[in-house]
This record gives sequence, structure tokens and C-alpha cells, in this order.
Amino acid sequence: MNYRNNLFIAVNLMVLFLVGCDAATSDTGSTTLTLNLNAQVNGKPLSTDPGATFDVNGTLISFESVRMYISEITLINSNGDPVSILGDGLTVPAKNEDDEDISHTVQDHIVLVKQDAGIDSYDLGTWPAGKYEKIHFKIGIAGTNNRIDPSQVPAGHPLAKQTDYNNHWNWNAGYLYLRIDGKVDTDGDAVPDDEWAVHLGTERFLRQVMVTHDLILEADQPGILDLSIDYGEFLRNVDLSDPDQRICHTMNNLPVANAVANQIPSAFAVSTDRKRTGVSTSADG
Amino acid sequence: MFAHSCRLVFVVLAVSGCAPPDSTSEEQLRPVVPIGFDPVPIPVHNPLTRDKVLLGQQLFFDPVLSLDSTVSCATCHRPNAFFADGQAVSRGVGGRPGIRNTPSLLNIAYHQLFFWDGGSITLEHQVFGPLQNPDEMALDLASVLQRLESIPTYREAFEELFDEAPSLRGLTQALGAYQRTLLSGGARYDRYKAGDQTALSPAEIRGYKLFEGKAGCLHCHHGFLLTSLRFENNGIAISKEDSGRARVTGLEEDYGKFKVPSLRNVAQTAPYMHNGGMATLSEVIDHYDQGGRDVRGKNLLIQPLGLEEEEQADLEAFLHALTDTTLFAGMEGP
Repeated sequence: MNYRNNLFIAVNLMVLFLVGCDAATSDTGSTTLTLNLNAQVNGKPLSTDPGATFDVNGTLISFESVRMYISEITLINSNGDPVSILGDGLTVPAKNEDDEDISHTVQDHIVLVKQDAGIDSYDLGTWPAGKYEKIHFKIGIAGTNNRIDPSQVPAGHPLAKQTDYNNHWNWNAGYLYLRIDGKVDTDGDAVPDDEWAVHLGTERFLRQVMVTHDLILEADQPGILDLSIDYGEFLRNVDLSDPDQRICHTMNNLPVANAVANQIPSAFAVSTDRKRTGVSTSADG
Repeated sequence: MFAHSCRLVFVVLAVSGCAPPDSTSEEQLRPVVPIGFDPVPIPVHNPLTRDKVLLGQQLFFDPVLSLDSTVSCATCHRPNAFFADGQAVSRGVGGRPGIRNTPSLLNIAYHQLFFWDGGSITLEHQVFGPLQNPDEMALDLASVLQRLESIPTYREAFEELFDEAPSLRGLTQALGAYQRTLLSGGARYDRYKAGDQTALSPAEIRGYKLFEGKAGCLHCHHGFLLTSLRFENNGIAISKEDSGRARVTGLEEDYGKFKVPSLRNVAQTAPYMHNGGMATLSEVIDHYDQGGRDVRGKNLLIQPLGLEEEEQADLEAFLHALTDTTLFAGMEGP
């Protein structure tokens, strides 16, 4: 009996030791995480090269600027707990909701996706090691972070005023959450000849994306998050052959803004299997 | 180039009551404001220093910031036109007309939101509007920085002041700093308010009483700037291309609202309204006397006033007493 008890205790101790060892290697420490964003248009690799065209809902279009903001990145660990990280703590002038001048510190780690510049990899910061099952993030900039003064953000920061494509409306206190534009073939000669643009912003069009994906981050082992994004999905419910739907600067074309914003959650997928997962239609700010 | 501009900015600083010219370049300037004015709000992120103001002034008058190098900030904000331009609507590169009247920049330091629709949140941020607007300076920001980088005096000034090559942050800070020195009080109205009963004529005093009473101007034009700085629909017919504050907020209730302008120097800054649609003060007074036009969203305070002809003349006389008589003329820049 004593022998059996001792053996039982010994086996249990060994199990605990092994489990403890496993936990120690996977759940302590931290590592960097990189987002690889595989850009497509209805399954075809995105290109902004001159001459590159795409069939979107039966209309031939090209892309010129392809940009968006990713913010409030949250990983959900195996216990179901959300984990998030802080950015570099940028302090800049801003307006509060009553349009009073304030000083505001942007704590969030924000990413400006610039796929027109051929950039597909983005630094998501340093994360605690561990096992994660879901990734949440928003397309856009929420709250006071969207009311900062971009003129005072140091060059190189994602929220700085960009010198090539506008990322912030001069006539509106806010960032362009999603900026996709280019040309559309209007006369059927297979050459895009007229402009189309979807420049989406303002709090009401902030959308959350939720992706279910097993992600194991080992300490000091750089992690990779492979996602695909389908820009054709954004335009699924937009008819660019209709001149009234071609130009959307948000406020001037709310129907198109709505149509695009509502497709944001379903435009993302885990890159390995292309399976669309965890679609969310929430628009919480 | 900078030596030439010093002469002007020191005059500006003297007029606006800033620290004397021999202050050190790093020393923060504290503008001495006109009588009755609040202290100038200086943002923490952009302290006012002499050299920054000088750089801002140089940039303000430099047409290199426009596409064809013909238009500077001062083209539409002319110092000897009280930092407005006397045109119905501003004209940018190639003479292209805008859609709005150029507002005076005097006392702009006190504003909370910028442009007629309040679409810009700081004096620094608003710089991007005219720079990039195809109907104004029409220059992309990358070209702006390239041009500044190519001019040694600017490159050196940015390095000295901001420890970096010409940057958007430095550019906007310098222009913001300069504009915060553009202060204007010094009207006979101010002397009257300070107790000098002889400062206004009898007609002007009658006009002042109408301003505060029967005409109801005070509802929107009050405080030392003579503006609430709020956004109101004053019964002007709105064009399709300009919905005013609604363009920024997207709110139906903001349709046709524009920022209430300061009435300081109003007699010198014709034409009037956001679209420059009224050429004279008497036209403006007549507009309000008739209760404005019957347009969607008009402020309910805009009602027929029933002013007699003499009363209208008295009111106009009072508005002339709001002109800064201490501001010098002939200031056209370096």
C-alpha cells in the first residue's frame, strides 16, 4: 500500500514537474510578432503596378493607393483572456469631445498598412510568450487617438502626416481608416480610365476584425502572424460601373461607406488555409 | 533672407506687444495683449520663440510653398488688408478661385477650430489645408519638404530650431508661432469700453446700443473678439458645393453652419460672409434686418429686426469704430 502510494505521489510529482517545465518554456518571456499580410483581390495577388487590372463584380479596375490603419490589436490566450500591449506612448496635442485643447498620449500600438508601397510585413510589437487562439483588431483609429493633431507627430510614426498619400483629412479631425483607390474601365476597352476611390473614416465606420487562429509565441523566437486580406471583398457590394458609387470620401457617399465598412470583417483570413474565420460585424468604438 | 525678414517681424512683435527684439532665440515670448484681451494661449507643444516666429514669418511670405511659386500665405492674407484679401473668394495658383472668402488672421491665436467649417483642429494642423488645396497653393507635402531642403537658409534654420531637416512638424510649428503674434485690438471701441466717453461719436454710441439691444448682434458677436466662435446658420443661401460645418460633422443639424467671424476690423475686411457674397456692411445689415433668407436650418434668432434707416446707419457707424487704429499699414513682407 505504501509502495503504491509512494509510486502514485512520485508519478504525480513527475507529471507536475513536466507540466511545469512546459509552462516555463512557453508562457514566460516575450517575443516580437510580425504580421505578414498577403494581399489579394478576389484571389489574385494585389498589384499597384501600371497595367495591373482586376475584375471586381464584372468591372475592370486598377489600384493606386492601398492603405489602412490597424489598431487595438488583442490576442486571446488559451484561457480566453485578452492580452494587449502598449505602444511607444506618443504624447501630442489633441481635441477632446468638446473640442477643447488637450494633451493626449497614444498608448496603442498602431500599424499603418501601406501595401501600395509593396510592404507586406508589419511589426506588431513585443508580446508575452504563450499560446493564443484568437486575434482581434480594429480597422481605424478610435476615440481620442483619432482626434490628435497629426502635424505634431514625428515623421516615421504611423500617425504622422504622410507626404505621399493623405492619411488624414485636412477638413475633418480624423484619420482615413481605409484608403483604396485607383481607376476603373468605363468604356469597356479593358483600360481603366476614370477614378474610383473609397476613403473611409469617422467613428461610425470603425470595424473590428476577429480571426480564430492558433498562435504559439515562444520566448525570444520571433513570431509570425500570417493573414490574408482580400481587397475585392471590401468592394463586394459596390458597383464601380455606377458613377454614383465611384467616389466615396465617407461623408459624401454614406451608402458606399456603409457597404465597404460592413465587409471589412470578412476580408481577413488566416493565410495558410484561406478560410474566413471568426467574422465579426461589430462596430464598437 | 532672414535678416531682411527680421525688420518686419520685429515690427509685428512690437505691434503685438511681444518681447523685445533683443530677447534670446531660445527665450519664450509672452505676447503683451491688447487691453481687454485674454492672454494668448500658447500650446505646450509649440512654445513661442523669436527665431521660430521669424522662420514662420519667412515661410508665410514665401511663394516657394505653392505649385508654381506664385502664391504665398500672404497672397490671400495680406498684412495691409488686415490679413484678408478684399476678394469675394480667394484665388490660388493660376488664379483658380476657391469657394470661400478669406478670413482675417488677426487674433487667430484665440480660435479653437479653424476654417469656416472648423474642419481643422489646431493652428498648426490647418497649414495642410491651403498648402494642398488645388485651388490654393496646390503643392503636395513631399514637394514642400524637398523645396525647403533645397534652400540652405531653411535647411539651416530647421536644423537649428528643430534639430532635424525640414519637416512637416517644424513647418507647421513655425507658421503657427508666427500667426500667434498677429494680434489686433486698439479700436476706438476699446477706448470707449475702457472709459473714454469721447472715443465714440453719438451715432456710434447709438449704434453700439442697437448692437447690444434691438439688433441683437451680441447674441453671436460677443467677448473681446466679438465672436462666439461657434458655428451658426445665419440665413445665407447655401450652395451644393459647400454645406459648411456639416461637411465636417456629417450632421444634418450642422447644414449651412459656418464659424461666426470676429467683427474686429470688419469695416476693413469686405466683402462679407463665408462666400464673400455681400460687398458692403449696409448689405449685411440689410440681410439681418430682413431676418435673413428662408433657408433650411436657419438659426431661430435670425428674425426681422425692423430697423429704421437711421438706425441702420448708426449700426454701420459703430461697426467702423471696431477698426484697429494702431495697426500700421504698408506691411507687405520681406
